[in-house]
Amino acid sequence: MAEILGVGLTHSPSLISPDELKNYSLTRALKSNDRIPAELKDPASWPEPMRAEWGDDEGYTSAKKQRVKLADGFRRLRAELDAFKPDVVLVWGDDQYENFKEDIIPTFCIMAYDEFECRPMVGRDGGQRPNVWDEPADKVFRYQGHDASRYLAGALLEAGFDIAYSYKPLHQPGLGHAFLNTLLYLDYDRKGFDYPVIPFSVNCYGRNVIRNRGGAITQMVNGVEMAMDPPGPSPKRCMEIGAATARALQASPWRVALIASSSWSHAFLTPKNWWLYPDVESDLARFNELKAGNYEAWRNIPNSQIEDAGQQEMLNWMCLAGAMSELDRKPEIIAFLQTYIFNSSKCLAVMKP
Amino acid sequence: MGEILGVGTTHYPLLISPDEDRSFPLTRTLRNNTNVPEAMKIPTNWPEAMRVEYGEDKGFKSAQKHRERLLKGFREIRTAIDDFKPDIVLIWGDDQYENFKEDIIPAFCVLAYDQFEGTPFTNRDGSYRRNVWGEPQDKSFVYRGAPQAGRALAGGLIEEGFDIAYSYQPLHEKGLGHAFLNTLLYLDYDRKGFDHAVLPIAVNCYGSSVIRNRGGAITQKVNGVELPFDPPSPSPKRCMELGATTARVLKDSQYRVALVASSSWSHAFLTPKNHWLWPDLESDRSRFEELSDGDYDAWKQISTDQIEDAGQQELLNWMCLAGAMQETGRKPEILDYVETNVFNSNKCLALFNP
Repeated sequence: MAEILGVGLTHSPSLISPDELKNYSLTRALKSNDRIPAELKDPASWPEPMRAEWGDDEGYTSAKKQRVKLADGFRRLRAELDAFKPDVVLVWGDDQYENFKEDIIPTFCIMAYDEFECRPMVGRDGGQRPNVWDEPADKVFRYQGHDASRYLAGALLEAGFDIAYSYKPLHQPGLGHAFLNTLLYLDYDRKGFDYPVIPFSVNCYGRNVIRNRGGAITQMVNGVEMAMDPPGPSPKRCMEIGAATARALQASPWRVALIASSSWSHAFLTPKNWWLYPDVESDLARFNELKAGNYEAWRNIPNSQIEDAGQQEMLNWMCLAGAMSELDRKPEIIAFLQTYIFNSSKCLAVMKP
Repeated sequence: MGEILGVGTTHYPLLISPDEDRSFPLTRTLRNNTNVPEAMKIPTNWPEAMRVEYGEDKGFKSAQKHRERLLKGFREIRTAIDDFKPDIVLIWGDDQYENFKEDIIPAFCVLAYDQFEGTPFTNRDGSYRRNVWGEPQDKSFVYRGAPQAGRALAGGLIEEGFDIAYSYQPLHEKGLGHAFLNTLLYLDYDRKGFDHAVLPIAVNCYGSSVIRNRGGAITQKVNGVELPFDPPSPSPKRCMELGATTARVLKDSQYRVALVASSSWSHAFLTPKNHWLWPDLESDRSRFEELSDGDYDAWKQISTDQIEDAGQQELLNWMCLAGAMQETGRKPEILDYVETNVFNSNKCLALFNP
């Protein structure tokens, strides 16, 4: 008998890195983003709550506090997941120029692999990635796929969604970080994660996915900035595909957890804040709408507003919102952590049957 | 303000091969397809019209006539395209497990490359492909792409709620898949050059068997077990919606665009009910009458099951064109409609003038 559990969470990479390394996107921006005027790199010019969060230890104390809250939130989400006993866990996540590059950018792609073999503790340079679990670079995390992925791809195509699907990796072995971090954090205590997984890739980065390679820096070709890429799907379209996903799975034999994985406004995607801190006000507005179960307020947000607020990755949550609107579910907020210095505000929520 | 010319054509691969080679799909099916009952491999058990077409020379004379009719149509289309002076030639074509494989199958993909370079006379195994032009194995064909228009069209379609993919460079197929490349080779059959910018849009016509059968007739096996069905193609209705929206977006652009649907209709090798030997002539004739009448709505109602039963998977390319022509209120001028039992597929050549 089909049943659906809704979950919203974050895949913020900084949870992997030990806090004492202070490896936040802010510290990287201060060091390497030349477009930020020097005076704005001085904490004295920052908003008051940002300075308080930064403190006199470059955010170390705040990072530890954030970690405790997030780890605790993930434990509660895992407990909800275990209590729900899903047959399969679907994750909406973005691809930040990882699996999809110049040779194809799909708007949506269902990854119907047999299994996912991942080595998250290998650093970008191929060496050991420092991590709070002290796990070695060659540690393999293996997750199973599920037949529901082909079923869902078929149902969505029949319903007029022009999705792509795949049976094996393209450029990214295993899983991109949005999906993999989600699974790592849902097993923060390393008791194992045996639920089969359907990663559902959403092109959140839209007009800058190739141009900025999913980051903050525009690529140059022969000294000229690359042209804008075609846009990502609109919030409305994401909500429609979320609703259609919920309908298709309700007509299936499976119990499915639908997970939206992303932080909200990202500092490194918010030029109006000089890439230093996220659009805290816009996130707060979205949060109040979510808390009230007012999903409809999200439906007509234009992509231009999403981009202005650095909320590109919220498109993952838009898919979840569409599904929850379809099922008429209200959210139970587990945590809403606003921050100036840790790149993005994070929301953890569960929408129970 | 954009302007549009509609073109329907075929990319039938056998126009490349000299007729005396008789490398027709039928010849290959008779040789290789073990699913064909032995009795049905004997011409006396074929439909009367097929036996006549096959004749005493295993189809050689008929192949020559088939070619003549198609070339006449291609030359007329080329003249119409040149007269139209397009900024872009957009082609809807299928990908038969060429550029897109297990690592991604998009329903639709706009190939917004800077340019396309292909060597059609090098076979997959590296051998030389004999061709009617006597062109050498390493002969390279270079076509201009339409990267800016491609990005703009992809953007326009995504904003209108189409979840298309796009790409800036090849994935598995260097250059262009055969649906696109053959179209361009035939539009320049007389080798005077083809300088129009090209915008290919891949349509996943092969749907439930694109990986399972690798875009062919034979189901792949893994450890002795047949692969399961893949997710389906987009429906005729969805293809027509995509075509209509493409026309609207281009009408609002500054470009003059030839919209080309490239494919034959029912394919013998996709028609199990005819033992993969001859295409579904009756179904194609119904589609042809509907097209001739400009009755595009009749196409919108066709189910994917019906398409697969009739071996008309590739007709989905024409469905995109039909949607665009319905949107722009165009009626077709049929240049030719070539029916065949022996040469795999029926072919329609048509223009939809402004």
